[in-house]
Amino acid sequence: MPEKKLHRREFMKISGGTILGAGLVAGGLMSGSKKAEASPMPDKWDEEFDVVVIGTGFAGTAAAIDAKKAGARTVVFEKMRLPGGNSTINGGLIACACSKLQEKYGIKDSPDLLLDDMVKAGLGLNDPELVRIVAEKSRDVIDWSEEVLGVEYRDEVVHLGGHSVPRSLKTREGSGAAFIRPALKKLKELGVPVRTGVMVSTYVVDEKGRVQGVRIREGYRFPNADSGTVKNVRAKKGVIVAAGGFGYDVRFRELQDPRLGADVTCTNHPGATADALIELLRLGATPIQLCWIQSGPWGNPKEKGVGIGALFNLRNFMHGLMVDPATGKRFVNELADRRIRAEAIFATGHTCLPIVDSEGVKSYAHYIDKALAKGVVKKFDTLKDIASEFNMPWSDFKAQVNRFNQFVQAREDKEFGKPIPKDDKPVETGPFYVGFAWPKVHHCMGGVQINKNAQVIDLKGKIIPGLYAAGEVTGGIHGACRLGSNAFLDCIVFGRVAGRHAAMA
Amino acid sequence: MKQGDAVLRHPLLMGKRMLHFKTRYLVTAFLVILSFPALGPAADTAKAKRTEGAQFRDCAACHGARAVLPPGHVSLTGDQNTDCDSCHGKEKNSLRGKIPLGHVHLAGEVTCMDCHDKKPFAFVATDRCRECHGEPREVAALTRSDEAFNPHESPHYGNDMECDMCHHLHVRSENVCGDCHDLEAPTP
Repeated sequence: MPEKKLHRREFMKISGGTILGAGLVAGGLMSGSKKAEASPMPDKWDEEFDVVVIGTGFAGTAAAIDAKKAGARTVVFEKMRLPGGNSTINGGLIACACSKLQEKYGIKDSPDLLLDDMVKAGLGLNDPELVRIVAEKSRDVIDWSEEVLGVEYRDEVVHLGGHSVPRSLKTREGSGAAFIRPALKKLKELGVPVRTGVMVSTYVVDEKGRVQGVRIREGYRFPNADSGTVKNVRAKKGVIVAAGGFGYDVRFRELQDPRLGADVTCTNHPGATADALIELLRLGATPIQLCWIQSGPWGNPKEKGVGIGALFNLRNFMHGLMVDPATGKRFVNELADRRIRAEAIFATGHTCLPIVDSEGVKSYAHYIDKALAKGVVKKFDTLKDIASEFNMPWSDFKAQVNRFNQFVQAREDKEFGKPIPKDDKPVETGPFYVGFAWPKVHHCMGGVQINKNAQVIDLKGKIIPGLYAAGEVTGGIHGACRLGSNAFLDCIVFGRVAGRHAAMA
Repeated sequence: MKQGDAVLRHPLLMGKRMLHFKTRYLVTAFLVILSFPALGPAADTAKAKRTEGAQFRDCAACHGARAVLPPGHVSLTGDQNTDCDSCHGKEKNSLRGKIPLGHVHLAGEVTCMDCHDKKPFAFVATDRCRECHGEPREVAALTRSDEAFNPHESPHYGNDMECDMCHHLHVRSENVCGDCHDLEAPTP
């Protein structure tokens, strides 16, 4: 458990690393034309397709489905031996403005409100055109997932941090696998080969600078860069890079944000590395906002990855309060965006405590016994017991809880502006449940620049012909901070855009 | 295999090959052998040669002169028909997940060349595992239990997991689900 302050590092280590990193990146970008950094055209191609998709997450599978449906002979390459990337292990939450469920629960929403929330959390760093496309397509995405893939959503609307209103739907199975598994099945029905253990090592570019295909390693065994047999695969219409983010790549993420060294754990699968992004940058794609890397504030240090401990925190942020055990007081709006909460928790220098009572825990009833058994959540009879356990100043903690309860009753949080959920009750009925929050690296907002057709843009602002990108590998949609459940949304929106446009080329 | 020999017919033990009784006994015993905790940390097998003609009990063929058994361990060569089960049959002495599965296969007379076809030893696809152990969904049916965690059936990956992601023959096996989840699964 990382109890030390995040910034307590030797200065030389940071500056040395950053200078070296900047040098490496700059060296790559200034190496001249994109031809110089790509693979030369082969004498012959080992295989030919219309569209080659890289990655089997939300963006890759959505792109491949739509490319094939638009008539393109499509193949999907996945470097890991298991398909799905981060998407198949995610929490299954997807944002939707104006869903049927919101209507059922009388929640008023609009694409404009979603857009405003995204830009506010993004600190205005979002590309105005791209963010609008995502905000306006959210209902379409839900309808498409239901009609084409049979995805089912639970009968509830979750309120996640940074959203003005509850708008996140949860897949019935509780993870993104609820989309990925049917998507893989759909690809099989459509006759699109999905090949695992195939690493795209570089792009094949002709003299005119058009991406003509990819060089792959077939039989690749991550992370052995030399494994597999080299082949050249033609992509007559386009290559769609949906290779995900680099959250697990400590070296690359630490270059972008020195606070995120090896001592900060990560929610991602081990394949979330920077290789694909680096190849795109070597080709001359414009990097956008690479240092904006999100850590999930709901990370529970008592478990690996994102488990039921993190789920407790996530629910808890809606219904309860979070305190710094050193002071017994709140220190942030529990429903602020992830960046604000994660930075606030990191700033305390230690694990913080989300707390609910027996009323607030009801929405988590399914998991609570298991969570208690695992020790990721603790149960206490009284608030005083909590104060004793964590050595919190009792009078300050008691006064804080009373103040919080007054805010709940008045439906207005005068201290931190937390939007109090409808029908919320004060935290006063024992037993009480305490979670543990210390952020974990989660998502890379930055990536390569794309236009509204998911085409990759080079450093001079020109489209790189034959090259598309979608999902976490792109940058500019989320800006400084991605709202929870918006990745699922963004990936499908731009995955489908990429698939359709590549097929039409 | 004889009819009604339910335990020994279990694919996790030995797959579908016909084996002599004595060998089946040895394999059963040996599988439970994977229980002796002392063997785990005692041996450094990182540099073991993978000798194609290696036989079960002939440790030196791959490990050379290096002692791989813990001090005081009964000799595996020689005249005694060592009954592994008498020490390792107990659950608390289980070596499950502590030594590479190659040893279990050798004990079951599944040799290197049975899987690797030819030298040089290329990586073997898990189609080979399936020939003896059945399809992933068949294995999943065997490990289904009320405990909720079925290591062969993942909500994230369905039955797509390749056997050797967890089950390693030449190094210790691992529990890949445990990378994210706190799920107990001693992995043979």
